[in-house]
Amino acid sequence: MSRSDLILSLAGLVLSLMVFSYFLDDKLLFGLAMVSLVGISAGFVVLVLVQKVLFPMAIEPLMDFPQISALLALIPLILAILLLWSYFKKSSKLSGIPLGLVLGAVSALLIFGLARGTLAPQLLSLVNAFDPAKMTTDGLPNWSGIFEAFMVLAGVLAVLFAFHHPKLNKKQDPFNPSWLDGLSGFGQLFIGITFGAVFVGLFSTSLTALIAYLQTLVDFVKLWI
Amino acid sequence: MSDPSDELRICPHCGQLNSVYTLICINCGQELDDIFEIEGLEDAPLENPDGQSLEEVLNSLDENPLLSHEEENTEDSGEDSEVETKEPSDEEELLPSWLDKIRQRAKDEDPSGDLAKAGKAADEKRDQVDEAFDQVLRRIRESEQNKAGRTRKAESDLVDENGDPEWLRRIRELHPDQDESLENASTASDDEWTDEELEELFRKELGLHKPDEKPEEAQGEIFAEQETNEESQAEPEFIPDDFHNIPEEDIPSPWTMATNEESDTSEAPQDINSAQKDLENSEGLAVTDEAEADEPLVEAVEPHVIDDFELDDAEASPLVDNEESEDSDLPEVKEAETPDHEEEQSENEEEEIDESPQPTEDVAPDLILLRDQRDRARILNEIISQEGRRSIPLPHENKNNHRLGSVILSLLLILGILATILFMPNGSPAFPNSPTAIAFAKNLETISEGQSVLLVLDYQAGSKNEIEPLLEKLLESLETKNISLRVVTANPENLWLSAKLFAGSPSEIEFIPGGVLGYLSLAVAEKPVWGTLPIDKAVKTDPDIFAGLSHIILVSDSSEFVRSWMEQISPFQLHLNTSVITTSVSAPMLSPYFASGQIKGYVAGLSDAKTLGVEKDLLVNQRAFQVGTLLMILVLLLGIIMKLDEDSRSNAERSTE
Repeated sequence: MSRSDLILSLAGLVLSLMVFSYFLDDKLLFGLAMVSLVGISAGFVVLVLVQKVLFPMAIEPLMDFPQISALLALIPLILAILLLWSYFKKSSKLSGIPLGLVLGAVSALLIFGLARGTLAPQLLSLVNAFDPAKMTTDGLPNWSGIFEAFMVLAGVLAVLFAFHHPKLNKKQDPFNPSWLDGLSGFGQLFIGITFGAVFVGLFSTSLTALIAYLQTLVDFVKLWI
Repeated sequence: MSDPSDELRICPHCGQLNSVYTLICINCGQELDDIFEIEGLEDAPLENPDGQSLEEVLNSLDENPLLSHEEENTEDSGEDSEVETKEPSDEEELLPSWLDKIRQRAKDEDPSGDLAKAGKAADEKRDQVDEAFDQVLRRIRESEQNKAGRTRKAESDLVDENGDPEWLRRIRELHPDQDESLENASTASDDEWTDEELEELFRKELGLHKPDEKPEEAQGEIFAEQETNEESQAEPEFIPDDFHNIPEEDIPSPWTMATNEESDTSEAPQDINSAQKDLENSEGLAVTDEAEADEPLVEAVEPHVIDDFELDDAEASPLVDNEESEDSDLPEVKEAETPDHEEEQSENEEEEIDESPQPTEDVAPDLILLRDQRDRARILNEIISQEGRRSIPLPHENKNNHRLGSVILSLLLILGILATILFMPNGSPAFPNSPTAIAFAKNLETISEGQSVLLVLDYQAGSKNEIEPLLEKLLESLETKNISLRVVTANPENLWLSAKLFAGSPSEIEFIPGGVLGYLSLAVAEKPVWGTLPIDKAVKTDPDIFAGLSHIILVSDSSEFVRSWMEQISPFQLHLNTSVITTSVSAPMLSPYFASGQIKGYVAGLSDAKTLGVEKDLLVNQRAFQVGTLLMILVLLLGIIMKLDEDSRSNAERSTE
C-alpha cells in the first residue's frame, strides 16, 4: 500500500466513524463529515467547471474577436452576467431573461422528449404485444404471449384509472363505489408492486455499499494486525 | 315552650306526627282538616242538608258581617245582638239554616259571644300559620338568591392590584408554569385578550350578569349576610357550594362531583329531622315576627322543601334530574300560599326572573347548583387544559422515542455483517440469469471488431461497488475485441471516480458540460460553416461523438438519467443499439424501455453479475449480503407487525371514543 493510499484509507476510516456516530445521536461529528463531503465536492466541481466550461466556452472564444464565434460567445456571457445580477439585486427583472430562456427551453424539451421518447414507444409496445406473430407459435396459440399481452393492457388501464378520484365527483355516492373504484384498486396493486420492487432495489444497493465499505475497513484493520 | 306531646297531631292518613299548626302532613301531604274543628260544630255537617264542608263553613263565617265586626263591637255586644235581631229580615233568605241554628245556639248557650270569638281566633290562627309559612318560603328563596348573588359578586369583584379577577388568579395558581408565558404573550401583542374581556367571556360562558346589573337590594343583602354566613360555616350543609370551591380542589371531576352530591343528599335526612324538631319545638312559629323567624327557621325548613318526597330517589340516584323532583313539590308549596301574598310572590318571581337566567324561582336552588356546578367545572377544566397548549403538533416530536430502537437495529445489522465478514468465507452468487442480463450479454456479443462504442458514465461513489465490477468486466470484453471506445461523462465526479478503471486504457474520460442538454446539443447540432460552436471548444477531440458509433452503453445508477437519455438523445440516434449497466434500484424503472425495445438489455447490480462472468473476488461478500438481507427482512416483518398492532389499537381506541 502506497503512502497516499494509506492516508486516504485513514481519512476514510475517520470519516466513516464520524458518519457512524450519527447512530449515537451525535450531531457534531456527523455534521463535520457532511460539511467536508459537500465542501470537497463543491470545490472539485468548481475547478472542473472553470477548467472545462467557463474558460474554453466563455473566455477562449472571445480571443477570436470579432469573429462570429466570438460574438456568439457574448450571448451566454451576457446571460450569465444577468443571472449573476439577481444575486446582488433580487428585485431585478433582467435576471428573468436567462431564467425564462432556460426554463422555456427545458420545458419544451421535456414535453417533446416525453411524448416522443416514452409515450409513443410505450404505446407502440402495447400494440405490438397483440401482434398475431407474437401470439402464435407454429400455428398454435402462444398462451403465455396472450396472457402477457392482456396483463400488460390490464395493467396500463388499471394504473390509469388508479388516478381516477371519485371524491372529486360530487354526484357519485361514496357509499356505493362504482366499478371504476374496483379497477382503481387493481391499478393500485400494480403501483404497489412497482414501488415494492424499487424498494427492494434500493435496499439491495444500500446493503451492497455498506458491505463493501465494511469490507474495506476490515481489510484496512487487518493490515495492522 | 310547652310539652311537645301536647303540640303534636297524628295524621289520620298515615299516622305521622305533625305540628299542631301544620296544615299538610309532612309525610303523606294530605291536609289535616280537623285542626279547625270547633266544639259544638261537630254535628253541624250532619245537620247541614247541603253537605257543606268545614272550609265552606269557615268561609261563610269570614263573610258573615256579624262575626267580622264582632271584634270591633265587643264592647257593644249587647247592642249588636239587638241589631242582629232587628235586621234578620234582609239576610234570612240568604243565610243557610245551619247558620240560624248556630246563632240560636249561641244565643242560648253563649250569650256573651265566646263561640264566635273562638271561631274568629281559629281563623286568625290559620291566617297566621299561612302567613308564617309564606314568610318561611319567601325567606328561603331570598336567602338562596342572595347566596348565589353573593358568590357571583365575590367572584367578580375580588380583583387584585393588577386588575386580575379572583378566578383568573386561581387558574394561574393551578398552572404557575404557564403564568409567565401568558403574561409574556399578553405583553407581546396588544391584540391579546385583556382581563376584562376574559372576565366578560367567562361571564357569558357561565350565563352570569355583570356585577353592575345586580339589583342594589340584592347587593346590599350580600354583604349584610356575609357575617351570618361566616357563623353558619360550621354547618357544612348550608355552605353555598355554587362555584367558589372549584379552584381550591384540583378541578373536581364528574366523579367527585357525584360524590359531593351523594354527600349532600346523605345529609338531607339529618336536616329533615332537625327541621321537624324545629317545627315541633317552634310553638310560636305562627305568631313570631321576622326577627324570631330568622336564619335557624329558614335553615330548618329548607331541607323539608328540598326533598320531602324525593329523598329516597335522591339517595338512590344522586345524579338524577333534580329539577323534576323539585317540580313535583311545587303544587304542595303553592297550596300553602294564601291569596294575600300572591302579589308579593308575583313580584318576587319577576325579580328572580330578571336577576337570574335560571328558573330558580320555583325550584330549590341548592339542588340545581350541583348540576350547574358540574357544568361550570367542565368548562373550567376545558379552559385550564387549553391554556398554554399549542394547537399544532411539532414535526418529529416523538423522534427521540424511536432513537434507541433505531440504534439497536443499526448496530444489529452492522454487527451481523461484520461477524459474517470476519468469521465466514465468501460465498459464490447463485442468482438466476435474468432476461435483461441475457439480452445485454447477447447485445455485447454482437459488437464486432473495429466497431466504435460510446460509453457514457453517470454514477455516484455510493454505487461504485455495485457498478464497477460489471463495468470492469465489460471493459475486459471490449478490450479483447479491439473495440474503439470513447468514454464521456457529464458528471464531474466520474472524472476521478472512474479514472482508475481507464488508467491503462487508451481511452480518456471526456467531460461534456450541460448534462443531458450537452449531449443533446452534440447529438442534434450540425457543424456550422462559419466556425465552431462554443460547446465544440469543450470537447478535446472530435465534437461529433456519435459519428461512426454502433453501440451506446450507459453506465448509470439513476433511472432518471437513462430515461432522459431515451427521451432526448435516442430519438435523434435511432440507429444505435443502447444497453445499460445500472444498479438494482433502477432496474424496475428500466423494464418498460426494455419491453418496448428501446433498450437492448441491461444488467443490474450483483444479481446480474453472474451473467457477465464476474469473479466472486470482485464482488462483495455474498454471505454478508445474505445475512444483511435476512436481517432486514426480519426488521421489515417486525415493523409491519408493530404497525398493524398500533393501527389496530388506535382503531379500537377510536371506536371506543
